[in-house]
Amino acid sequence: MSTRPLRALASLLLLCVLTVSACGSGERETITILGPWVGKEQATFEKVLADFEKQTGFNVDYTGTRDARAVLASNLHDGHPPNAAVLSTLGDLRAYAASGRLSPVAAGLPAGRGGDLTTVPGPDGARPYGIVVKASVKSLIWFPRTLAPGVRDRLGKARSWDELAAAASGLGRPWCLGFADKSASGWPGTDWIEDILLHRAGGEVYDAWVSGTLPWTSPQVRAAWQTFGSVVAAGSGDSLVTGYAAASARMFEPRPGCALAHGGAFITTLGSGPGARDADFVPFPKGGDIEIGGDVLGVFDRVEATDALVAYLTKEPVQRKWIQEQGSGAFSLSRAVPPAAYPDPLSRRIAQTLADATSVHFDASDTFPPVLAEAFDHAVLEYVAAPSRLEEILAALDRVQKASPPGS
Amino acid sequence: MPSTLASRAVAGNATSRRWSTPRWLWSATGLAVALTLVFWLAATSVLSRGQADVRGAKDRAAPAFVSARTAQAALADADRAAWQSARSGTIRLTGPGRQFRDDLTAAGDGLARLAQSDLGGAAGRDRIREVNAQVVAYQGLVEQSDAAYREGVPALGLAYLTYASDLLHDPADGPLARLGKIAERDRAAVEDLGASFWTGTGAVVTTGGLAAVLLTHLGYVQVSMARRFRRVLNLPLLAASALLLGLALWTATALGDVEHHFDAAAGGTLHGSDRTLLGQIGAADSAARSLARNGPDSGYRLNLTAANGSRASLDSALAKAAETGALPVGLPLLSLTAAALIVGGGLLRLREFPA
Repeated sequence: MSTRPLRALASLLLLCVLTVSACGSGERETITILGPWVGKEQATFEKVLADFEKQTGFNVDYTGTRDARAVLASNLHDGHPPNAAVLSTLGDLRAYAASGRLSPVAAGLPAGRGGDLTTVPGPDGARPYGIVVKASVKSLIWFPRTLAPGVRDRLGKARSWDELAAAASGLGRPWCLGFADKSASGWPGTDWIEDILLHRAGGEVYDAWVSGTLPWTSPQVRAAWQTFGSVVAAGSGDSLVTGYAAASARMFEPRPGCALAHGGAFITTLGSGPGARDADFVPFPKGGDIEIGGDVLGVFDRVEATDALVAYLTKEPVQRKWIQEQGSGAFSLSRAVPPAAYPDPLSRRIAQTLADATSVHFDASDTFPPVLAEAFDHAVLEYVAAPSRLEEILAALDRVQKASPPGS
Repeated sequence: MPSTLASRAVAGNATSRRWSTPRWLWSATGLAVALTLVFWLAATSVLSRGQADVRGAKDRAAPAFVSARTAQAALADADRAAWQSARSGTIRLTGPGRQFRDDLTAAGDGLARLAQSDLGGAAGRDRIREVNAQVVAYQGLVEQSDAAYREGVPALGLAYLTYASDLLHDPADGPLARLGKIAERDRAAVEDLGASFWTGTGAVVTTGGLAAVLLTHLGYVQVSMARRFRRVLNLPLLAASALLLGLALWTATALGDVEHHFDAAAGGTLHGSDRTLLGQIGAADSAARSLARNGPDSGYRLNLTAANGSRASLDSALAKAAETGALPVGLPLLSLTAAALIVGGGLLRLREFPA
């Protein structure tokens, strides 16, 4: 019997096996990322991800939703978490790390400005559990470029809160205040109190308060609240039901309802808020200390591609590309990205303010455990509505803090 | 010219040799059986694909649409009820009130039904999760408002109710807007299924056309047999023709009924339901806006009976479209019987030839 047909069959089978193997080895690993960025922010992030895919051969499937926190909680509950998620607060990172849901990221990533923000306690001790992918510079006082030069000069020269308040006092109702933001209402007030405490009492006191060693009823914290109360008293009476962006936009009306707005660099990206061309800023007096916020990438299901992505996002050229996208509102904590790398003069000045800071502190309410952060938001609203209840409010916050230690 | 005539005569003889009567009989009978099977397969395909579309609309798209709209209407009314409790002062005594709670329960039921029948796949599940999370956040804000009113801080109570209402009505990604988008998608899905080839006139005409070809062929065979065998009728073939004519009429009537009822459901009934529910949503929104501005109470109340009536009429129209009687059984049974009669009719004549 001839062996030729058998040989031919064997060759064919071998070819099939090799073809299938070749195809199999060419399959690209796909990872899923959940995040709160939609619209322009999503488009910018997806550009960054497209370059990552091109360079590494991995696929990334990003889902952006404003309710990323709720969707993530639901996915975790169902046992189907994304490979990685962009968390809006360090408090969430701490909580997920402490519960063992997060995988540590590779050690040895370069620490940026602000230090090692994402090294937090987990089941096996403190380890890096994420990276700050996008920072926002806070501690800024905004005003329209049309503001009288004399006032602008006084604002720029103010070296303390009292000097700033004195400069603002000649502006009628100076402060544009809006605390409404649907389920997150109150946060603009928490930013106010944090900045007042940071710049009046100093970084050490601020850090002690954030870590829970300085009570809410301490004289320094109480004084910060009272100062905030004086700002509210000098603002318009509808701040509780006015949105933050809408309030800031009032300074640009033909007959401005206010002249100054406290807020982060993101104020320039808000649709109805001050545009980058119309607004100018001075750092919250006195300079030196600065507050930042940021979005943090945490890894829930660690695979080769998530390690590659974490390493990729921390690279200087990638950070540089991200901040240069118009409208991204992003600032890099990387020391390798100089202020000159930013795309417009205003961003460059904000970046310079960050670079000049002697001490960088993460937003306290974003660092608190979620329960305490929510209580802080509510406390601000309650205080604005009923300033006479300050002692009750602070005592209640102390109770919440005791019941929700860091990482809870 | 003579040579042409001669060649034609030779060709004619060759043809008649090729098409001897037994061979013609086998071929004509075989073709008739093949056409019967093609008709059966085509009619069965149209029926099963059409019924799959009807079931898709009846079991998934239409319930998803009604659930999304009902949840939307209930949430809109919950907001109105909460504002009414706040403005009337009853919130200090009874919280946002029974109507608010009933509305939230109705919305929760609608969302649960939507999750069961949603057409959006994994992304759709995520959207429903987001809406659920937003509804929980909305409820939390109303509870905060309730607590603030009870603690005697009405400004804070009013603020929380405003936040809740703003969350609900956010035109970009609030739960009402999201549910509206889901409902529109599901309504479009019902309309698409209603416009599918398998439930349309095209499918009826195609099936009828095949039946006409089959019956024409059977008529031709009957006439040809009568000529070749000098007998008037082949009774089995006649019976097969009558059977297939009846089957074709039955099939065409049933498919026509499916088309008619599905058109009615995907058109008038669906749009009528949508109008009813959108009317309720609009009225609730308008009443809530008026109360939020401290304006007069319009007196509007959610009419769940009307909403349920809309659902029932849509269900009923789709149930009629899904009704095909005994056709799914009759189609193979009668087709095979007809095929057997055709074979019998052919064999009857073939037996007259020596083996």
